[in-house]
Amino acid sequence: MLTAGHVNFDVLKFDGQRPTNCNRLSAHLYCAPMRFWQRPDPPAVNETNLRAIVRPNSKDTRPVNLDLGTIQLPVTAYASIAHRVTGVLMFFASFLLLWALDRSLASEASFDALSAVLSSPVSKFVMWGIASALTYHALAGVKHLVMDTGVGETMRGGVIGARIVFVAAFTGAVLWGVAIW
Amino acid sequence: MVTSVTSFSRTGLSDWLIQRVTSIILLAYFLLIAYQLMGSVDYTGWARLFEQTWMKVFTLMAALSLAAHSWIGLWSVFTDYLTERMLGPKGNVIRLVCQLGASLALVGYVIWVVVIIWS
Repeated sequence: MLTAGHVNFDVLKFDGQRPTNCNRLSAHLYCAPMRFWQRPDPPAVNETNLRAIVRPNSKDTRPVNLDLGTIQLPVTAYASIAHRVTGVLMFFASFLLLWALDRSLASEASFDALSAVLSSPVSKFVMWGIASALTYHALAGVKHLVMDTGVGETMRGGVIGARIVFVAAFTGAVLWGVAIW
Repeated sequence: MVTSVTSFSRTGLSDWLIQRVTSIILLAYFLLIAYQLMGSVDYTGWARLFEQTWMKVFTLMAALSLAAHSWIGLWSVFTDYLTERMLGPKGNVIRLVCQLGASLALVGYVIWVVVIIWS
């Protein structure tokens, strides 16, 4: 099976004609279609033959870049990756938030102790990071909800939406910094 | 129809809807918390807020939403990156271990919230 992504190249290999083993020595006895174990190995996919395999009718013979890491990503891709990264961060941050909720409600003494812990520079930075990550994640989530209604589903709309989310989240991070320090 | 045994609701369409409903609950909850933290917070006012039944119910709903939302989100991330294609033969084992750890943590989060709110 020769596949790349969802494309199954096996169906394209023989151009609609199943190969037979009639050219073999036994052809004078019978002429049956080749079984899969008799068929020659398909050619290895590389940058020079990929286009011909995927689009057999294409006249374009230019090589295809298979090194996906060298392809520049659009801003929508960075917005999506950041949504995932901040989501995973919030999973871990939830532990700290629950700990803080627990300490803030256990007793007045633990509330005051929490206030003292949260006033240290390291705690403030962590709080700022969590608030900023949550703000980005929430804004990117709202963008998803807006796109679910059919607004901004085009490439142009997606780019504009991603830029709005990045600018709003950056502004939010600055405001959190002002509020915390 | 393709179902996945480790996704939250076992169908993508249900996961899609649950992810959006829980996101709105969480957004509303965090906006409320942020609004409360904007002014000066003291213990009596903070404790009185969490003594009210509607706040206890809202907090529990947010905790359950967090668990479902995180499960669906982490499942999407795990099944994209912690795979045999990305990590080699151990990929599936690593993913299932991470899935198990995450689900246990999320169950722990919900129980923790119940203990905080009703004790």
